[in-house]
Amino acid sequence: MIRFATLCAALPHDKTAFDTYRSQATPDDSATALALLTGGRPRRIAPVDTILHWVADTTATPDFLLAACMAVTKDRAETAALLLPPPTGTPPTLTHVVQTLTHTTTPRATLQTLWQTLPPHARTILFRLAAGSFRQTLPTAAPLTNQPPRTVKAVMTLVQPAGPEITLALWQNGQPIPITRLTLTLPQTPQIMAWVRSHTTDRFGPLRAVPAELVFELEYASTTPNPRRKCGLDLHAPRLIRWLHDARPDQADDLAILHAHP
Amino acid sequence: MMNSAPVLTFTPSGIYCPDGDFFIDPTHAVSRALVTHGHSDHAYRGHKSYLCTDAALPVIRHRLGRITAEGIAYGEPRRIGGVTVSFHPAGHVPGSAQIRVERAGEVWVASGDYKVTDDGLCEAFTPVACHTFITECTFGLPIFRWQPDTAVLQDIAHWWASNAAAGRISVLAAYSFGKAQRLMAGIPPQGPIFTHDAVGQITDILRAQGYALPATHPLGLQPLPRDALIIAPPNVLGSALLGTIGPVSVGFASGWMTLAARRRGLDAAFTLSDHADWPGLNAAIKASGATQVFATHGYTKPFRDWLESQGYQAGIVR
Repeated sequence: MIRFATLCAALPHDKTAFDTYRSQATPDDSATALALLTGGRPRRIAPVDTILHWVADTTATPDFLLAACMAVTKDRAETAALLLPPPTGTPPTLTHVVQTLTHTTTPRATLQTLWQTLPPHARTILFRLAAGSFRQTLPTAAPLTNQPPRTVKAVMTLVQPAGPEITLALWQNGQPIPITRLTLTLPQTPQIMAWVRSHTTDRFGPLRAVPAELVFELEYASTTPNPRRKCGLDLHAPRLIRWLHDARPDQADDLAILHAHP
Repeated sequence: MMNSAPVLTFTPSGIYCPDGDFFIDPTHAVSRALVTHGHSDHAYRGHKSYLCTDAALPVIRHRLGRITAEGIAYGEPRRIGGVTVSFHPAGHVPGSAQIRVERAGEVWVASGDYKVTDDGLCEAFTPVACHTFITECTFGLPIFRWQPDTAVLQDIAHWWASNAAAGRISVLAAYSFGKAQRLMAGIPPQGPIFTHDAVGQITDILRAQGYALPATHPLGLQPLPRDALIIAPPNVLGSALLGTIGPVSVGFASGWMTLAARRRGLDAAFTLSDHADWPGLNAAIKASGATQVFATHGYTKPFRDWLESQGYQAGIVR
């Protein structure tokens, strides 16, 4: 976790930071880091205001001092990180932090256990992850990874005409399982939307269900497990490449391919 | 019978002692200045006479040129008018002092700048018992908490060594008096140390005084080895120097590096301060035994409010 915080600090100016990180981190942590840097987030366990309140409470910091500190940092996660006393104990791995945040049912106690072991710069990242405000986005991270994007063939199952946005799915036991939603930005968009209008089988609010017949190629940077989703993972930095208008639906990929190539 | 007038008062020119007719670290020209240390926001030009510690005097003379100045040993009492003054180690930079002023058993101490941890180079801070303590509060908020020196100095050594391995010269920005010398004395060596002129001059003066400083080389025209560490004042960060010496990594050592906003744009940032952090300030105030405390230099308003909430009679130096 400490190395990841160091990576986050170095990324804006050090093009080799990710390679350095990967050479030192475990494969699990490298995959988790890549997922976070390309837009993946653990579940938000508390708003940052609440986290700051927990820290102020733990450190017995009066409101007027908290306000004076905020005026200096102008950042609630950073203020919370700096207010805490020095770390003690063994710091957790990045993967452990992400998994712990994802599964906790006792946010304050969990966060306290994690923050006690981390130095301030790593606590700031911890609080951003916990508050769902972590931003280190693809434009910064992508050129650093030296990793070609992966591609996958998926079938369209739902369409929201406003946007328009399409839901793409992979096969599992003959059923299309949704993996991501993307804005339809292809040259053939009008043609595809005309097909949608004539093939709508059902409506759910703004969504139209269509037969799983049209196949698209998309690329993505990485995936991370997410047991709360039916497909079992989050897809990071997905991008629509093309409509494979000659492909048959059964030529779309099986969901297993994502689990095999995280 | 106690004199009810305050021992020290606060004037537009600085802290003034009516009974001794002198100022402490005055900002405007006065006839008699007692100076805590040689930093330019404490040792101003233009006073008719200066009194500072023997250890502070050479740097103050170097910086201010021809002045009428006298040195005094740490702890030596000196009668001035109706008061007795003495200088006590503040642990801030070499020669720095807290100034104790006693009038008929009532003791006030003006801290100057101080840090309570021993940096191994300058005279270590000693608490001075007093009734009224005038404390700086440069880092007087609870977000400022320093790591132990050894951890920070190890980080710097590691940065220096990895730069050398990658063929980059290390450029470390630090205030030229105090911080620069503390760094060169404390960083586990990874190669030769070069000094920018401003740093080199002060280093030579302190070395001649007997402070334990390692060998350093002036920056010149010679090509620099890749394992070189250049220690330079912060203003070189924006100067042409950096463009002329090949691949570099630029680091900055300062207490302000705690703040993410201050670290932006630097290759490396190290939080190392010559001022007391929040626990240090609170510890020093407690150790002084003072019941009345005045805050100056820093986050005076919230710090005063904090001291009040802790039961002190607290005010701000204005």
